[in-house]
Amino acid sequence: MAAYARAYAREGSEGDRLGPITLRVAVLFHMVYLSVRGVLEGHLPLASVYDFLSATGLSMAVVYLYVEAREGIRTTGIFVIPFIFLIQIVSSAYGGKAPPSSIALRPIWFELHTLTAVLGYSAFAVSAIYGILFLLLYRDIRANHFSHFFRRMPPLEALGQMNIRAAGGGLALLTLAIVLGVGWLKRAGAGSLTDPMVWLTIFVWCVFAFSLLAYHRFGWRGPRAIYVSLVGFTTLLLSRVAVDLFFHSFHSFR
Amino acid sequence: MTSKAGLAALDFLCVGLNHETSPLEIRDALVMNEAEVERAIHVLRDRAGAEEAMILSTCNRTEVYARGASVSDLPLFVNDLLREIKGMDLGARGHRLYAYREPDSVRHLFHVACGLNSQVLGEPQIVGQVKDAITLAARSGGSGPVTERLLDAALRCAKRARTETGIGRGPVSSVYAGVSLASKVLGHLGDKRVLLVGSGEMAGLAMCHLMDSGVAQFTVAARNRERAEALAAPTGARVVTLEAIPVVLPGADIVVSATSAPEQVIAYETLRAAMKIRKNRPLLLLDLAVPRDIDPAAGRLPNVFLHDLDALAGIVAQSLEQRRAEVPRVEAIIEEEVLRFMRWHRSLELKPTVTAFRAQFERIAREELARHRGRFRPEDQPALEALAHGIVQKLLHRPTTRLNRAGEDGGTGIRRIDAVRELFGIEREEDPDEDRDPR
Repeated sequence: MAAYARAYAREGSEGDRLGPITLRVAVLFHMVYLSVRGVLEGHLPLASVYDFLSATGLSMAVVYLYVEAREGIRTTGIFVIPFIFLIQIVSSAYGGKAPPSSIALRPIWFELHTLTAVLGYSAFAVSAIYGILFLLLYRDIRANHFSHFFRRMPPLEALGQMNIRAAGGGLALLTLAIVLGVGWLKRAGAGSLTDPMVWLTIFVWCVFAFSLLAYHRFGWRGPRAIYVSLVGFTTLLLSRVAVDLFFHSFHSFR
Repeated sequence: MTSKAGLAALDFLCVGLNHETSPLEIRDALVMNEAEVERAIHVLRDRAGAEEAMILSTCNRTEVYARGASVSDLPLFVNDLLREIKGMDLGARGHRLYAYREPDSVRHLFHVACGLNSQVLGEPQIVGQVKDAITLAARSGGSGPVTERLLDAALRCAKRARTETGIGRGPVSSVYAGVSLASKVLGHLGDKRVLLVGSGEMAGLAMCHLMDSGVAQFTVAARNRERAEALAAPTGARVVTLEAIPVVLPGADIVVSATSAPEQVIAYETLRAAMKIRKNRPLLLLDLAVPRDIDPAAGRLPNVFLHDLDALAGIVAQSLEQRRAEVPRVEAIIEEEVLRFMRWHRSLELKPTVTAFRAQFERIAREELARHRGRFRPEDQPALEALAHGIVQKLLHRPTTRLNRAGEDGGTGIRRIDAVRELFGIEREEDPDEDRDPR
């Protein structure tokens, strides 16, 4: 995180490779840890909300590294890594005390469903962060406010593309997660398609699908396109919280 | 004439004037073309006895660099030279030239090359001008091992300053600030289309900067068709009248407007209609005109980025402030490079001194052996020669070691070399090629 903070703080530098290398090493260790746990427990370590958070943090890091490598921009890392760090701290602090979920995680279809959903959520989270950065930079440029933030951010168009690419990846993964989930439901008969999380997820899918359609088909650019994707991500977050707190759902970790 | 350093021991000198010491009218009158520079270098070599000479003449400075000139007052000589070549007598006008002796002359050249001595702090054009000066000096027979080495060092210093510090960072002209802003909003500009409104100097400058950033598709809208066509010619741009702006506007990603029209050229409604046609794709508007060409209300339209000269001046001011903050770091680099160059320069004097010093002792030993050869048996001769050689080596070991280090010891080292020369009667001679550092 310090390396990414330095990359952001140092004028005229794109940042050295220390941040990406350290993050790659951390991702590798985390993957090894989860793999060992998976082997020892006989299923993917996604049985509690804290496991879920830990996997989300890991996959956010993977998505971020992918976007960073693709765009060649390191100055935005400082806006993503703290979220990953926070998620991991919460997961590590409380993970040991959490009881495992009642959901049987054994069937491979379900495990893949969960895994793709986690990856999809992470991609949406990264997309939302880039969306917010886009809005902040958009506001600064239009207001002739040329601060350090203005100088250190990549071009507005690049932020917009990072937002839409991450959202596109998230939508593909969420589609896969939905297909796998429906497939698992049909085979195992363990849940119902009327489950609130299913409908909320389909709503989120529709919002992101519309966002991508508007971008590619209707040529939507700028804040309007970003706001749509942020609505999608906010719905996703709220639905996750709502399902855990207010609904009886087989998606709940309770 | 003034001198910032004592000029008693002339070696590598810089004499000249620049924008800080002279008004524009004088600087303009003294700008030399290539033929004049060549002539000046010949005069410096033939009449002032300069072994090497170079002239840096731009709109902001005219500076003469000379090595080994045998005249007692080089500033006076340069004054006469300028009168002879440019017909301007600075002395008669009460104008003064500055003069620097090494290491200040070296330091000054490095300051110039790094852009610290430029009107626009850190501007990069000066590097090309320094390169041109050495090319011209080489063509005129003015360059030599020291000036070549010095110019290499100056260019290295400038490169380090630009890569290791932020002295060249950020736009420092309004037009360039506008182009940087375009890159910030639209990213890569290679596939973007530009509408230039106006055909004056500002529009031309904007076109140059945009072309440098990769833009290839231009449309020029102007009242004066002839001037617009001249501006459009290098890029094959399309030329239209101002009345055609509503037609071409939707196709543009960047609009640079710089007319002298007293009224608005692009109205809010025109832009609103254009944005509708272009489905709200981002549009950058740079209004470089005074009074403004574009209705300021257009800045409220979504995805329209409207920036006028005041906004761009803000970016320029920020860049200059950041550049000023980098000056101490650049000066530290300059000091390192000056030290490095001066070490090399001293080594030119050092090596012949050490060689002559040792040769003198060995010659005395040989002469003494030859003088007393008859007093010893022939079979003892090799032992005697070895004994004499050994004594000389032992005697010379410490002085040679200390002398070899003299180049690293600054002023003390130079005094040491001078003392040895005086004590042992060693004449000054140089063999620069032998001592060039590998690069």
